[in-house]
Amino acid sequence: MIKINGKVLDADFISQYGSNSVEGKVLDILMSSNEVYNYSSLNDLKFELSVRRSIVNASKSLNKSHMDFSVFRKSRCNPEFWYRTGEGGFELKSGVKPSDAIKDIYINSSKYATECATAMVIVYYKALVDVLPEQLFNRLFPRIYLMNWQHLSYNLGIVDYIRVSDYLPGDCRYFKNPDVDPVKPEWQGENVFLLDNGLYYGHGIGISSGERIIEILNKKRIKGSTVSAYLLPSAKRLDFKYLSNKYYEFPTRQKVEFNSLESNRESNLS
Amino acid sequence: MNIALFDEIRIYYGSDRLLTIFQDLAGNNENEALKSVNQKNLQFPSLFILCPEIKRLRLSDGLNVRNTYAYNFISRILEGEELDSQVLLQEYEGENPENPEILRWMLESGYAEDGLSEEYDQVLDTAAICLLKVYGNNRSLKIIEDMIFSRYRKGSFIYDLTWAYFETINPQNLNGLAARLRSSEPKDVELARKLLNFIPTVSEREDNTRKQYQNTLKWISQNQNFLYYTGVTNNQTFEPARFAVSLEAKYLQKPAESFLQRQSRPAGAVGSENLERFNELEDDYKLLLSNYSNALYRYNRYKWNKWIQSPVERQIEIAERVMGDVQ
Repeated sequence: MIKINGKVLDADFISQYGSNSVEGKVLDILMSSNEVYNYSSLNDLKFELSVRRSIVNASKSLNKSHMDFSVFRKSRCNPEFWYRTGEGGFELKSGVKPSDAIKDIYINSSKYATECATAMVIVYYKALVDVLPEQLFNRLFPRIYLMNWQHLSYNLGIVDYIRVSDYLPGDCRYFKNPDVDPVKPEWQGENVFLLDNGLYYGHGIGISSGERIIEILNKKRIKGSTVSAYLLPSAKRLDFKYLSNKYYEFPTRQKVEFNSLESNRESNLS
Repeated sequence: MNIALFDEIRIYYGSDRLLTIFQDLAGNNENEALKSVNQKNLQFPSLFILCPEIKRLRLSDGLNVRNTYAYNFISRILEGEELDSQVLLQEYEGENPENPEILRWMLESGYAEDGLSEEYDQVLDTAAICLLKVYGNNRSLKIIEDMIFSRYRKGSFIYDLTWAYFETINPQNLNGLAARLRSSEPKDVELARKLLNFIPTVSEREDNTRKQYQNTLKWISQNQNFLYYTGVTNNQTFEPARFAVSLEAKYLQKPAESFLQRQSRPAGAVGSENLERFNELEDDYKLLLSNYSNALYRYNRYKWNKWIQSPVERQIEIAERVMGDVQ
C-alpha cells in the first residue's frame, strides 16, 4: 500500500504510467504489498519512480555498451575525463564537468574497463545525470571517485538494507559466491540491478536470470565445492527522499521536466 | 646468510643492470648464469626480473625445483588467461610437499619489493592468497598485514589481499590490527579504523589514539570468543563489517563457532532453555542481556549460573537495575 501524506494512494494513479512501464511495475509491487510505503508528497513518489526507471535504462545502456569487464589491476578509463588511481579506481579530473565525465563512460565506453561493483556506481550516477538538471548534478557531485563501493559521494545517500519486504526494479542486489576459487577473487560475488522484467544486470555477466547468474558463479568456485552461490536478501537503494528534496528545491526555471527527459531517454535507448 | 650475487647487483645497481649482467653471463657461460640464479639464498624479486630473459634464452630447464615452480607460477599468472587454482598449483606441483614453502619464499623474500610493477604485485597477491586460502598456511600472515598497510599508504590496490586476510584470521589475531590504531602514521590509523569498524570503541572522531587502542584491546578481550566472520567485503558493500558479535553466544557464554557449526543452540548449555525467548527480544534488550551476562560471568560465576537460569523477564529486571534502562 502507498500512502501520500497519510492518505492511501488511489489505484488509478498507475494508469498514467502504463502497467508495462518500469514505473507501472514498481507501483504495482508497492500498491499490492502488505507493507505501507509512506511518501510525504506525490512529487517524492514521482521522483523515485523516475529515478528507478532511469536506473533500469542506464543498466540496459551499459550492458549494450563496449565497457569491458576487468579486475582493478587492469582497469582503464578515458584520461581526458578521469585519472586512473594507483588502486585502479577512476577519479574525476579537475576542471572536468562531472556530468560530462559520467556521460563519457557511455559515449566512449570502449575506453573503459572495470569490475561489477564500480559498474553499479556508474549506473547510479548515469541515472541521476539523466534525471537531475545538469547544474544540480554537478553541484551535488563535484568530486567523483569510482572504486567499487568505496569513496561514495555523501549526496548519493546509498543505504544497504539487510532485508526489504519487496524488491523493486532499480534495487541493487548481490549474489554471493562463498566458495569462489581463491585465485579468482573478482568472482566472489556479483553486484546486480534488478530490471523491470525480473532479470538482473550485472557487469561481466550481462542481463540474466538469477538462476543463470548462480550457474555462472558456481563455475567460478574452487574445484570440488558443493556450496552454491546465492542471492542475498539485502538491497541497496539511493536516498530518494533526500535527492527528491534537492530536485524540487532547485529553481524551477532551471529544471527540465521529467516528460521531456523521458522521451529523450527512450529515443536514446531504441 | 650472505647475499646472493644477483640480489647484490639488483639492490645496489638496479634491475636493468641485473638484466644486462645476466645476459652477458649467460652469453658466455649458461651454466654459470644458472648457477647464480639457482643460489639457495636468491631473493624472489631477482628471479622475477630475470624470468623474461630466462624464457627468451630458453634456460628454464636448467632451473632448480624452487625456481621452476616459481617460474611456472609467474608465467601462468601473467599469461592473462583466467586463473584456476587447481591448474595453477597442481599442474606443476606433483607430490612436492615443499610447494607452499616455495610460495612463502616468494612472499617473504619478495614483499620488500612490493610495488615493483603491477605484474609483480599481482604475482605476490596470488602467492599470498594461495598460501592463505588453498594451503591454510598462516605463517606469513604478519607480512601480508604489513603489505596491506604499506600499500594503503601508497594508495595501491589492497582489496584482494584484505579479502584473503580476513577470510583466514580468527578473532585472536585482531590485537595485531588494533595495534595499528596507535601508529604514528595517520594512514595506518585510518585503515585500521576502517578494518575494525565493527568494534564500538573504534571511531574516526576519537583523537586520543592511545585511549582508543586500549579501549579496543579491552573490547576484543571481552568479545573475541563471541565474534564470527561475516564474509562481507568491499566488493559487496561500503564500510563492510567483517566480524560481528553473536549475541546468543555472548548471552550463553559459549564460543560463536558452536552456534555457527550447529545452526542451533549448543546442546545442554546452561541457560539454553531461555534462548528462544531471548531471540524474540528487541535488539536493545538482546544487547543488554548479552553484555550483562558477559560482565557477570567474569565477575562471579556462581551468581551468573543463578541469573542465566532465571526467566528472561527477571534477567532483564536485574540487568536494567545494574546497567541502566535500555530506554
